[in-house]
Amino acid sequence: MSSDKDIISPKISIEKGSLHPINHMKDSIMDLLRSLGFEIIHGPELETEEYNFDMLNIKESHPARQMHDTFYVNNKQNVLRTHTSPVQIRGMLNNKPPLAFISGGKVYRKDDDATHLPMFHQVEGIYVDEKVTFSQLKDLIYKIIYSLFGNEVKLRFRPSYFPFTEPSAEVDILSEDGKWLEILGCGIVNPLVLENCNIDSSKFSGLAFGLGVERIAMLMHGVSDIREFYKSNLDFLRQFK
Amino acid sequence: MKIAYQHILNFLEVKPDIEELSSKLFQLGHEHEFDNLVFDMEFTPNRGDCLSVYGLVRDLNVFYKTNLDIPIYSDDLTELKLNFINKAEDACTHISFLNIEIKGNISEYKDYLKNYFNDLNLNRINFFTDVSNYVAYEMGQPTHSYDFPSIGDDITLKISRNNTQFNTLLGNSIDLDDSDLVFTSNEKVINLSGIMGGSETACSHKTKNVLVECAYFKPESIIGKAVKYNLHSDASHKFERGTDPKSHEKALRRFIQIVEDHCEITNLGLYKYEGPGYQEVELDFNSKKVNDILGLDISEDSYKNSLIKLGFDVNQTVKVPSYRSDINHQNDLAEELARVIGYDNIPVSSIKLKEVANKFDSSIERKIKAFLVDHNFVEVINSSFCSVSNPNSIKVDNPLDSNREYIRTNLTDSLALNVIYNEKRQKDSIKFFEISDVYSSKQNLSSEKKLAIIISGRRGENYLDFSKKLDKKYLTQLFQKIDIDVDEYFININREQLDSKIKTPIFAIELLIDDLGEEFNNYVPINNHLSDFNKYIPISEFPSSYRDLSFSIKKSSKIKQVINTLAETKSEFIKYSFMFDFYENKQINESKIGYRFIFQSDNRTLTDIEINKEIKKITNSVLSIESVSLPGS
Repeated sequence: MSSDKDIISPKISIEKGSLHPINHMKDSIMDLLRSLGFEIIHGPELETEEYNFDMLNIKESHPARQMHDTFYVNNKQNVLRTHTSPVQIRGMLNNKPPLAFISGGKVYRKDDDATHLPMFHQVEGIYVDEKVTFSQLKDLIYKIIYSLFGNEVKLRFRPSYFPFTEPSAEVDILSEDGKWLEILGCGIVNPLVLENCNIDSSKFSGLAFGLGVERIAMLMHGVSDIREFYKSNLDFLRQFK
Repeated sequence: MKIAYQHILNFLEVKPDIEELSSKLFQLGHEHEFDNLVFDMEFTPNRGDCLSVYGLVRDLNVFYKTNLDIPIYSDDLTELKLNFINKAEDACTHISFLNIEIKGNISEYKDYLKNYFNDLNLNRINFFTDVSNYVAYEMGQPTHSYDFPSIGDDITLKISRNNTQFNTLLGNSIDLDDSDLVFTSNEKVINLSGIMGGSETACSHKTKNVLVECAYFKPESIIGKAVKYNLHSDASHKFERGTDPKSHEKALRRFIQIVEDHCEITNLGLYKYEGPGYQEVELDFNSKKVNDILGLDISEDSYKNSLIKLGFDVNQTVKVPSYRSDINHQNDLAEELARVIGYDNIPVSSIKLKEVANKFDSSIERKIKAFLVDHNFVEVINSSFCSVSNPNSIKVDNPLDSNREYIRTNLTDSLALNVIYNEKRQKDSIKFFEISDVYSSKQNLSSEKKLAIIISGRRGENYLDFSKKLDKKYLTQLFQKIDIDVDEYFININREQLDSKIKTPIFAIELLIDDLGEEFNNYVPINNHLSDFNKYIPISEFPSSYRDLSFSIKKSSKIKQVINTLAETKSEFIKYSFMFDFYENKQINESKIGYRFIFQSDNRTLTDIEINKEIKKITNSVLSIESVSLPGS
């Protein structure tokens, strides 16, 4: 029993800092995908139009290539990548199938409002092998979404359009208030893209998917304005310990 | 695009309710919302063929029996003598002109035309323009109606000359350049092709003699023009997405029919121009290939029937209808089949990838972050754009604004602004870091991955660190823990260049990730940094205030109770609290505790009276503990 004369200094709990919630989310998604068999590859944020658009079957007439959608630099010789897909192109050019890559990082589009920013983050993955099918893609997407949102979440696949996948799909989850929320885009890699990367599309097929990290983080954390992530407000950032 | 539910039903033999129809539209990939029996459709960019009631119903034909026989004018049409010169065959391979002269006045619109305006809450303009708009809505083919007598002797389609002035029918004047496709007459521009007609040749209520232009423009020749001149029109949207080069005569015959429904036609003539360009797409009929893509086992017959319902001509091959410019290979056909089946109805088959050697990322970057977070640093992500340039800066050709004209070449400048931002929000202990690529124009654009750390203020919010300052020594000692000497990486931050009245020094280091490395390999993180995802509590933008309380405690056995009482004190306005001082005087067996409370409201600035009321409650609560007093009392 301690007497009144035994003064014991109070313990100090070690104060822990915090990862940025977007990097936290990105790394969590990347870890999840690594655990499923994807290998991480990296690529530059300053890209050529060839890798960012041409190789991905995004034709010169596509609206995404317009000056009002894409940031151009270096007298229009380069672009700030509009997605992480050019990293997949580099991965396919430098490796032979079977291959399974993921890449994550900053991407840039000419937007600026409560739900869109000129700089945001994506994680994308690609898997190329013989006989890759849309039904396998669905299996992979279920695994990703269940890991992120739990096995009880309801999801739906909708036909969509991306020049680099065909068939293409968008995947929605049903929110607690009964609204469908778009979570990711995916599809079977367009054979033209495989051919652009010197992969024989008569022998190999592939699946690809991409997630917007901010969107997932907004849903998971309940943040309604995307701009909150980038104010560097300590009161905000310290909530994500 | 807005499409009325009832207008779709007019083409369907069975009338599904709006919920069912909505569900089928989603299955086909046509995203939308609906309100007051009107669908607000958002078609994917490859489905220009669906930008009309007719086009959408063609797709719905896979689920419902449809009647696509729109009443059209069926008599022979005489040839219109028109001096048309096409100097832009690459951009416009098919074009027709229809001349209609009418007699009398149009007193009232027929029900179908009236409903179009009423159901979609649209304003009428003049008869021929209204018919033009209706045909585009119903059939998807934009047409432009000119007041024929106001056009000169010729019509030429060509690329504009630079600095050509054009007055649009909306009344604004624009300067065209040598990338714009225009119609001219007597050397004067009468229409910015595919975007908008001109004011001088526009129809009015008085127009009795009209020339209707019906064209196919390659999307490449139209894209970007509407944005460039801020002249968005339904026609420009349709042409950008692609129209059907083979639909002109049917659209114009429908136009005539609608006019005839409303008045007497006294003269009709049709001019047709069909250049080279359109090639029918014909693909192998290969159900095995399509099944392989989807992972299905659908019979040939079932696949064939699906394609036929979507308008494909299927025999030994699959002939793609002219309105489906998005179908070019077997994967496109696989998507058609998948839409008919429903993506959600495609069964799942297990996928197993080869396991990667290391399932979790053990990169140096992750270890650096873990080390810093373990030492109470907060990670930030700043914008890659900045307003300040240096000789190595890369300039953005088309920046959002002058504040984001360059790509940053260092991280510290942004971090310094983060410090100031938080100081303005009463933060006095700031430890930030950022890891990011930075870019430079050196060596024809080069990149480096950097780490930057910035510190300012108190070392921490606990009684051991509260009085100590974050300084150069702190950072140096921190990195000595992992045998890294950061002395050479310190950057001088000059407060005078920042918008700040606070004098507390700021210290920063910035270094290449490649300069760190092996030292971090053995670092074992204290915390699991990828843990749960907290729900965010919105932060207040109203100013916070703090109050410090000190208590003397004679009986050491009561220290814990005092601390617990203070730590457990909660209220609507207490944002957080911490013990900033603990002092023991062994000689007189007395301890002193200093506790700081930070107050903030979510919806207003708190008054001193409100805060003092809170403080009084806390003080009374603690003073009720045996042997506790306020120092000096």
